[in-house]
Amino acid sequence: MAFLHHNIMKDADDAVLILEYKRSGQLDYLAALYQRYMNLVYGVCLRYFDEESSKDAVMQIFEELIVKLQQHEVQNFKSWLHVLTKNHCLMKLRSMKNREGKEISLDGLPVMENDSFAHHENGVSIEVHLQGMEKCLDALPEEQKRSVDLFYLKEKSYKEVADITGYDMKKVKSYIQNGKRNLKICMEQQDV
Amino acid sequence: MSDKHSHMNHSVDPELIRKYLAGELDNKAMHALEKQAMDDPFLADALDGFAERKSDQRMHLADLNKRLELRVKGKEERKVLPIIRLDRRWLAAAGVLLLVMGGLFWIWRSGFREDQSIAYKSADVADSSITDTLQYYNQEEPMAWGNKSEKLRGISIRPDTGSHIFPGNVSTESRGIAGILRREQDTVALAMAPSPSTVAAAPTLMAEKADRTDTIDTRIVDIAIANPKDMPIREKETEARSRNYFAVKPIVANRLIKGQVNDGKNGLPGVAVILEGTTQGVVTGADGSFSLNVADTTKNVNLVASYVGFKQERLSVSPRENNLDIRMREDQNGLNEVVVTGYDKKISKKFGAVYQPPMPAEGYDSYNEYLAKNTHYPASAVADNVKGRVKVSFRVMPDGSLEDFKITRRLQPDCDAEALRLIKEGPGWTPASDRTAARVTVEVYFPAKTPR
Repeated sequence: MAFLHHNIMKDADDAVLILEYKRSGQLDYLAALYQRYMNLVYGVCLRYFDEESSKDAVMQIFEELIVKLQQHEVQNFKSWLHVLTKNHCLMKLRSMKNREGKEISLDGLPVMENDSFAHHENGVSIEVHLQGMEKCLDALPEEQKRSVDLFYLKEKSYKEVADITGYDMKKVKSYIQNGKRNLKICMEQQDV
Repeated sequence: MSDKHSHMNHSVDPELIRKYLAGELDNKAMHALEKQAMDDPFLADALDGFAERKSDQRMHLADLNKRLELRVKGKEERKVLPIIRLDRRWLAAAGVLLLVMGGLFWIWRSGFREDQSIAYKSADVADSSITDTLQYYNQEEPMAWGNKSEKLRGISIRPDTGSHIFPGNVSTESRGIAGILRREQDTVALAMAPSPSTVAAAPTLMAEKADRTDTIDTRIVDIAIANPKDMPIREKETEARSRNYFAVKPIVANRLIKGQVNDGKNGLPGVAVILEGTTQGVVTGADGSFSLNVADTTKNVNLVASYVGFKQERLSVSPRENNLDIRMREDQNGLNEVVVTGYDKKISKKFGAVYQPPMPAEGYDSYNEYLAKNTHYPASAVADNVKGRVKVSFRVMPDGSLEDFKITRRLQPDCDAEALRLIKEGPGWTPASDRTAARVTVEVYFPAKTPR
């Protein structure tokens, strides 16, 4: 029984763990689930706070989960957790701002919108269509074209792309991101 | 689609992220992770977060794992403890019972028949140390010599889901002693059928924990084993004349915190009382009273009471404190914090006409659009990664000209100058409706310049 239990904790689908948690109310299941993504949650928190506050935030988010998972029907736990994390951090920032009268700019921080869910699904299959998108690729600005080509077709890492092209690492990343987005738009127009 | 699932459901090894950032991965592995991040905004976000830190985060992650474990275990430890304590206590109770039974048997033998029972003290059982997690209810009828008065100790256990609290082995065990077992939907009632002359003890304990189902099972087994030894033979001889039930009821574990918020004298209505860290909360009623349901009944909860003009009151409430009196103190600064941005407000005396403050000639929408479109981000600000707002205050004269510019909120010299330029060169203003000079404040926004 204990063995079985252990297996569930390790291998089960997120959805199964959520169900088990909802059914039994046992925190073990929730903890096993949370552990899978805790490093990501922590990483996201690091964007907003220092290490100690981030750790606190990670634990607070767990507390939030205890309540919220019982109340909400969650389809895609990972994406949902991402949004929850960001919102938690933003709320915390906001309350810090109010309490201390300190001005913390929220401008640079991305605000989560619904399309991030869509993004997740849309982004994935992009390679599948790569063959048919040469035309679109050619239409891209030079930097984006080279970066996308090297990253997706030649499977080079950011660093390699940067070395080959001489572009700045950070720019490479945004070239790829923007190139990918532009390609998608272009492909959609082709389809129509 | 399959690609989606492969990464959707799986976490990313913290070690992989660390190695990636430390440059310890080969190109292929780096590319793999980067590609994954491209499709997984959560991962991308986290990677950015980690990348901003130079230091090794392994220690922090290990710490987090420990904290999570403690958070979950903390409950389990508390969960185990009472069993051991309970065992001893029940043993003690059983011992006392045995003595009493022995005494009774002797009394019975020596001729005192019928209608005798003994009020049996069990103060030692209800030791305060145990009341942390368990509560005993002792109801005693005074002078139990006489007829069918017995001492009642009943058990009610409150697990959070009712379906499987009472496993089969327990009920069979109980059947041995009890003789009668009733099952009514979720409620299992054990009818104990002692003879009138025996002492019947049905123990009561309240298990506060929702998730302690296994513990509860064990307790019941204990009781079941303890009792037949102590209350032998007699029970089987006679029919049930009096009954003590001990009922196991599944009640959703919930804690109701009640209280009143006041300012020292009177109740304060409309105060928001919120369970910290959640969105749960209530607003006090006309007399300042409130009641709030809390799901977790085991640990301290933090309540935050806030009300305009009063200092926010934050208090930690222990699981046993369910009646609160929250005293709020007036906040001297409370109202000073409200910042009013606006115009010199004057009411025109002419015919009671409503005063209109100065307005951009083409309305605020187009003025804002102008600001957004024409703000040139100064090169120096881009270089320094400056972002924020500049506030410029000026007077709109009766003829619509602008005068007396002041920067009320500075950002960076070039940005400040740019904000001034924008307003001076910008669309004209309609003066205030009463044709007097009026001061206006405009905010110019310099958002973060990110490479697009």
